[in-house]
Amino acid sequence: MMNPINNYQSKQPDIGPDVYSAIIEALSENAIFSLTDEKGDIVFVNNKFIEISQYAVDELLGQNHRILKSGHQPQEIFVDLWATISRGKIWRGEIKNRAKDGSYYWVDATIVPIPGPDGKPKNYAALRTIINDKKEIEAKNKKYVEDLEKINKFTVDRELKMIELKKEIKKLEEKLAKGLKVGP
Amino acid sequence: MIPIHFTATLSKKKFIAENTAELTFLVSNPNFSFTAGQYVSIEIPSLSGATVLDRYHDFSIASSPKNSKEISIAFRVSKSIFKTALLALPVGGVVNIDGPKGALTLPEPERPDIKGAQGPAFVSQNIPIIFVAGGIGITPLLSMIRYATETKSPQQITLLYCNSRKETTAYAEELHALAQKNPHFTLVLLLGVPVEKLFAPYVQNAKKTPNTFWYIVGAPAMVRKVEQILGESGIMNTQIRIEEFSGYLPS
Repeated sequence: MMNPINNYQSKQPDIGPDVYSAIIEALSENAIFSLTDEKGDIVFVNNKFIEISQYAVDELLGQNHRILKSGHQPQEIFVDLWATISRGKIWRGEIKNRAKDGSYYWVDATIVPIPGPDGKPKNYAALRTIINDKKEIEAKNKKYVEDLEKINKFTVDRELKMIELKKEIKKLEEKLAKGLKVGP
Repeated sequence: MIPIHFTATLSKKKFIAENTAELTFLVSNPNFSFTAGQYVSIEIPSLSGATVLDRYHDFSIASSPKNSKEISIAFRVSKSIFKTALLALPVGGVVNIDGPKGALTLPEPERPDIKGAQGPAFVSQNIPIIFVAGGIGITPLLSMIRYATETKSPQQITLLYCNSRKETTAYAEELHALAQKNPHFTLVLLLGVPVEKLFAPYVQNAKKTPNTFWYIVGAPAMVRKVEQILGESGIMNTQIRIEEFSGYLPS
């Protein structure tokens, strides 16, 4: 398997364990990292995971990852996620999680299967970054578009109503004119 | 409590409501204990050739943690590979268990020794709790009610328990008995569908006690709808705890 860290390696040839540790440390500064077994039970979390989820380490280790499930996303997303990673493929997507205090947070998640001796996924490594700001902007934009659509619909409806009213007025005027002709 | 792996032997098997079975297991590991409201992952050895998702299934523990040597689970019978195999398991049959798991538990004292241990699990026992259960979602809540009654907890608990029909209402008789025995527990049985519509008047009523803490357990659509009704009533997310009974995909 190609070493992903060496993909863009410079002339410096030696990337040893120290460098990997430094890379993981750097990632851990602003990314949420976890490692699970084949069932999705958590076997490792970094400090960022603990901080964001608000659970203590001993409340997370051994727990299934769905301890964070918000329940606000269609089940199809998780069916696709599991269908993908259990085939040994990488899955990437946006997930809404629920912290221990009940508050929600959005993450951009990448889940990488790690094969066991039999070639089947034995563990899953997941890297997540918080995207609350992005989701907030998306929600605002969505609301803006919905509001515009409402205003547009209101304007069109009003215009159609005016046309109907004008027709009615014209009919009344015609009737009235006829009535005057037949009057005394 | 970090989950451990152990075997358990089926000791009792019975039907407790229409299409609803209860299985009781004797736990082999003396170190196993759990908190009321938690669940376990069960693996049936005879399904060892199946995929991971078919091999394991999560079940809330319905029994009280006062006796952690024997645990009971309950489920609606279906034709799934797992439930068919589980129901076919003879008394004396052995399963593999990982547990306990889950964070849907009763309020407990704060744990300043644990970094990050704050949040809804640590609300005061003086705050009233309303349990909203849809169908077989009753199981973790029953464990908590049993435990609260056994320990004579002062926790005020109201259970809104909804089923489509009387025949599918598991544990109704026992819940009535617990309500008689525990002066702090109130039972409201609701019959009909859709579940969320039946709950709505009670949820609206919650505005009168804004600091109430809510636990919602049931099918995903029901949980989401009740949560939405609560939100529209001004109840904060931080006052709500949820558990979905949704097929058990682990994410």
